[in-house]
Amino acid sequence: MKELSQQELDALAAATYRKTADIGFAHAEKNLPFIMKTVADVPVDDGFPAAIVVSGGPTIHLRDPIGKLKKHGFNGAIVSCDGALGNCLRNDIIPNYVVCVDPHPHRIVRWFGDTKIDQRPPDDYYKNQDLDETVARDNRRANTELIKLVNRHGKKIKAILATSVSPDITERCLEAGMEIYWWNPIYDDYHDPKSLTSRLYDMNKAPCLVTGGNVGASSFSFAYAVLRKKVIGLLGMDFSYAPGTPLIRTQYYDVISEMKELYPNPEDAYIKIYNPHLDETWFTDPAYYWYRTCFLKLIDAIDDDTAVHNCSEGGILFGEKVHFTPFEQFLKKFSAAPRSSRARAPKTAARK
Amino acid sequence: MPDYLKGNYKSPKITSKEEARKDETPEFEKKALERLGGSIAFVMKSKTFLWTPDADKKADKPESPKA
Repeated sequence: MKELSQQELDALAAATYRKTADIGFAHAEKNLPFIMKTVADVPVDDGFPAAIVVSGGPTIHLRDPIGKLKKHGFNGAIVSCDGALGNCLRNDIIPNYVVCVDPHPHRIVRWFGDTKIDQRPPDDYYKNQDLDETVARDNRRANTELIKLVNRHGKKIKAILATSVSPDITERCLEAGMEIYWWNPIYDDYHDPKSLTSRLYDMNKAPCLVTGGNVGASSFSFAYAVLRKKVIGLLGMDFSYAPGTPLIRTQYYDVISEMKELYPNPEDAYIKIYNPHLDETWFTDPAYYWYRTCFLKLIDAIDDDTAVHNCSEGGILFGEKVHFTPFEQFLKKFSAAPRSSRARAPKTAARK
Repeated sequence: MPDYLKGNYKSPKITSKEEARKDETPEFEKKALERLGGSIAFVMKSKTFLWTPDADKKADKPESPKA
């Protein structure tokens, strides 16, 4: 299949809004009693300019960046997406922050170890996808281990939760001793008083953050706009599948194979993209392609004094303003700088 | 043709099966795309990453002239 047209991308964006707006608002209402702090209250560490954002793409297994991180260490902030939290903790990497945004009612809490797993409807989501192989291999056992790990380390991790997340996630983070800092996803035009975003802000007064369409991009927005990092390294930010991955192991395969009227052959839905930095062709699906497009828009909007290094060593996230940097090289360059202070920046210091 | 034979009413629009299918397609596609869609909505306005009404007020306020 060819790359998606602007019209197709707009249709995906509109569909995502329809899918997430009402449930996101309903969750925000339920989360309201728990909003004590917002991202404006996050202590900002000005002593170290670099941060790493860990996402859950296949290169997390293929290139072992977590092992490299463990070996070399890193002085800056580690921001983990929800889906990468388990991988970090199992490898003794305790992220400073974990970000969560997807309003799905019961899937996402699994990344924190789901204490209500027996009450959930049957769901093949974890089995058929590539985000966390440990979970995919042995669902129940992995869940039990993750509950213990998250409970053990929760107090050291700040939960950066969108108001859209399921209240089960709020409960789980509090149970594990995490401090929660809230934000509203920017769903639409906040300057329109009738917009969902504007109504959310009026309800809870939490700052509104641009999402990029998924948790990986939201984590990047957080590192850039709230932590104000000047150098941001990305891990596992692939938005695609490695060459040779069976289609059945891709995240949306089940959905695509049911959409026979749109995709008579499931493979028609997938898009091949040549990555010149790797001299490899990875493939992606429409949703991940949309994510990639959104992420590149975010990167286009950052200040010129900020550098983004994609250290995933795989995937399809490359472009004019993205340095495609091997992770160990990034660590050598940005890990040695001393942490001079842990000053707290004023609340108003966040980037617009 | 005598005037009284002319239609004095509007006939209902004849819709072929194919046309009917076309009408349904956008709705089907909408539903399908919702299943395929992303994790959360995304819009970005004028390079703003973090928005509060206060941030708007500050942006609107002219900078005081340097002495």
